[in-house]
Amino acid sequence: MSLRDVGRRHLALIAFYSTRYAVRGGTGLVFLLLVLVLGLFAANLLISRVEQLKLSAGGDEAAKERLDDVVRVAKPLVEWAVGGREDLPVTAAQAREGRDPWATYLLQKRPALLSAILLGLLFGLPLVLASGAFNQYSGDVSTRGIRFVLLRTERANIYFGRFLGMAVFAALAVGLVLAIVVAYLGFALPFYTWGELLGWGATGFAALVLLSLPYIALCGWISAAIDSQFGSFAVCGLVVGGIPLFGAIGGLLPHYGKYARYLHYLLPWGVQNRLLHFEAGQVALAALACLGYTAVFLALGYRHFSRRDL
Amino acid sequence: MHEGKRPGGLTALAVFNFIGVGVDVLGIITVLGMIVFGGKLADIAERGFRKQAEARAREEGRDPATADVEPDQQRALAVMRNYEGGSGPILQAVGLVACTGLLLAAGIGYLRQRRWGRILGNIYAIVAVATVLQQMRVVPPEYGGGLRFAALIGFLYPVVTLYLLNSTFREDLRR
Amino acid sequence: MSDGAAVRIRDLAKSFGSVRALDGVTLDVPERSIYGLVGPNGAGKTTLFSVVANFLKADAGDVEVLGIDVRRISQLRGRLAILPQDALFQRNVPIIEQLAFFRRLDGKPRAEAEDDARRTLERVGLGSYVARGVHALSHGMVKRLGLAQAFLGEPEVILLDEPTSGLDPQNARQIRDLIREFQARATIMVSSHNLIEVQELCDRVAILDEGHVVAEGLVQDVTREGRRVEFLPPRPLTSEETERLAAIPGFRGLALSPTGGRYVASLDPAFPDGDAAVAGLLRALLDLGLCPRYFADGNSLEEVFLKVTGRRGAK
Repeated sequence: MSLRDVGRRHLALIAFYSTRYAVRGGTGLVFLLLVLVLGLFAANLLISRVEQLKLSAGGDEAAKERLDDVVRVAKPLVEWAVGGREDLPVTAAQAREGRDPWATYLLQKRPALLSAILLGLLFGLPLVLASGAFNQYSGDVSTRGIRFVLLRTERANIYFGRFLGMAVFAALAVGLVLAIVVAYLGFALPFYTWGELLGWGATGFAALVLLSLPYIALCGWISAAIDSQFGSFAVCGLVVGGIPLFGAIGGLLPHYGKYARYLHYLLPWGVQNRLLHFEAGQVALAALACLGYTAVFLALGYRHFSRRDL
Repeated sequence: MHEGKRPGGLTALAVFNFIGVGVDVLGIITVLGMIVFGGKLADIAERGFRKQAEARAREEGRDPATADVEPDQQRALAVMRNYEGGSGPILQAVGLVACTGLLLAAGIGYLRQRRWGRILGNIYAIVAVATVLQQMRVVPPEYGGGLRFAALIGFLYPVVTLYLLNSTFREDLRR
Repeated sequence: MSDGAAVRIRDLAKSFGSVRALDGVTLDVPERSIYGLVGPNGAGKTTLFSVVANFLKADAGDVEVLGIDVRRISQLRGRLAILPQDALFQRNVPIIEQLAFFRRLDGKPRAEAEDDARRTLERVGLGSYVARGVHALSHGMVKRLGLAQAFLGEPEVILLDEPTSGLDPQNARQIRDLIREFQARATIMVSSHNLIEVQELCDRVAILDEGHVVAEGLVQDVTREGRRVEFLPPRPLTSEETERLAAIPGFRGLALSPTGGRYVASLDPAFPDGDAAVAGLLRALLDLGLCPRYFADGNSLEEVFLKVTGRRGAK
């Protein structure tokens, strides 16, 4: 069975119905609420401090003068996320200007608060995705319910259709979080214009969607390989959370630390923040890397799914 | 015909309700505590703030008798004193108690797949939205009142509940 | 189409680890027939169906359905259907929605898919439950739902894996009637543990045991070796009477049936005149003054089954 067997209509049907059943079944609903609650709570940690700034300034016009304070609120998270990473290769611009240009870009040239929120979402999204994408196949394979569909469509349509459904659902959830954040920043806080917020919000949305694809594909591969829903959930969580954790812990080792950090590149973890880089080339490379990871995980997962007994 | 089983999503919604009940109970205890003891707590806090101010004055070589509580701390004390016996906070507490009771009853209704579960869930959502609006009005802006992002989060669950009860799970709550 | 065979299986083999579930299975299922597949638990019936439907990949051998290799299963879309054993529908999703989804995969637009689904559900007696989820259906209704999805779209070959297992006699009878209705339009393979049902319903039968076909052919040919007489005397036989009846030429033995009260006498297939033997038994009963309340002479698939699978009944 080859990829020529993929049919657009079947892909769309399977994507739609798998998402619909996921929400009714519980995993989709839990995922949606996790994305909304965690995303908005995380954003609120920063926004609430800026709201205090606005209040203490005593009005919108006065508040606009305190943009530097807003930058100070966002700075620690931004510098933690994009600065001081010894494992990242230094670009030509950074070599000329030092390691600050990226942080400067995110804090000064783009809405600093939104940059910090986006970096926080990039950090937390993979783990939340694992909680939603672990059951793309394992549930129906274990109940054999997938057999009702196997004679009606290609395995390729089932595999890629469910991936597509999960990707669209995740994009909608993430988009909702960002829409609420951007709308609030635009209506309630006087620091940035709508143009700045919408432009950077759209870029951030694209970055989050691009980041979600490889993790959904990875969890799909795991889900196709493990028939048990709980087993699939556990392994997805361990892989998505464990690899960067091992990389970080290994990085503390005296001699092997610098090698251990390369573990991050087993997942998009190593490149994901570059989706918000100040150099277009870096952004493009990071995007291509995410798509590359997605293609690899999809290929491995589909290869397994197409050949296994169901 | 055997007894119907719930969709997993409806069970998840009930569980989220019960988690909300737990969180709301803590909120109720806090608000009630402030209503009853707000003034006394403010007095205790003020004594502590004054001692801090006097210690700072001594370090800076000033006369401790001239030391005063910081403006931020004064605002906090005023809020605590306003809570005691205030009608706004009492309404807030009533709203919280109503929401908690509705959340609990609705959650039980979801688990038993009863029509009254859907009705109570809808009522909860409306009451929750009204309670958040009331909180926004009662609590001073510098302490989380007014139009704040945190308040938007307070609207999130009621809105999601309204949507799910009246579309996705509508047919499952008809008995 | 291959020699009038809707399903053609040659030297099929499938193992799960060290367990050989199918070992050189060869059989042909004629078009528009109802073909029975019986065997003890673990014989390989479900595995065989799963390989034919391409759920499982065979280790060796070929399977063709309507002349098409099942490895190119996409070419059989809409023409081959299956009622899988133990497959579960989506819980709490209205059954009409699930069947409409399947029909949309067949290429029908939404409205037509829903109409087809509704019609098929009505046909299997679930017209009043279209908006309910599977959780609201009894075991018998779930079996009918499975049949409905198998019959959806009028496929040409239908595989039914134990369609009546766990059902009460009324539901089982209704499902058999539905199967007979479809015979005019489709080739149907049915697996079952109910040998009487298979004998009644099917034109041909194959007996599987430990992955091998141990008997195969038209039902009347396969059961020829299983002729037996079942009778119910007015009172239990004494030991002398049992000895006398068991000694009548042409019979292998006389045993009390597990159904209680009835006796079963198995004919020796080597005896030249089975009819004379049966007449002799009836005469002997009457001579003893035991006019039987029930006397049936027929071929028994169960007898053949027990013999070829090596599981003997009590003598």
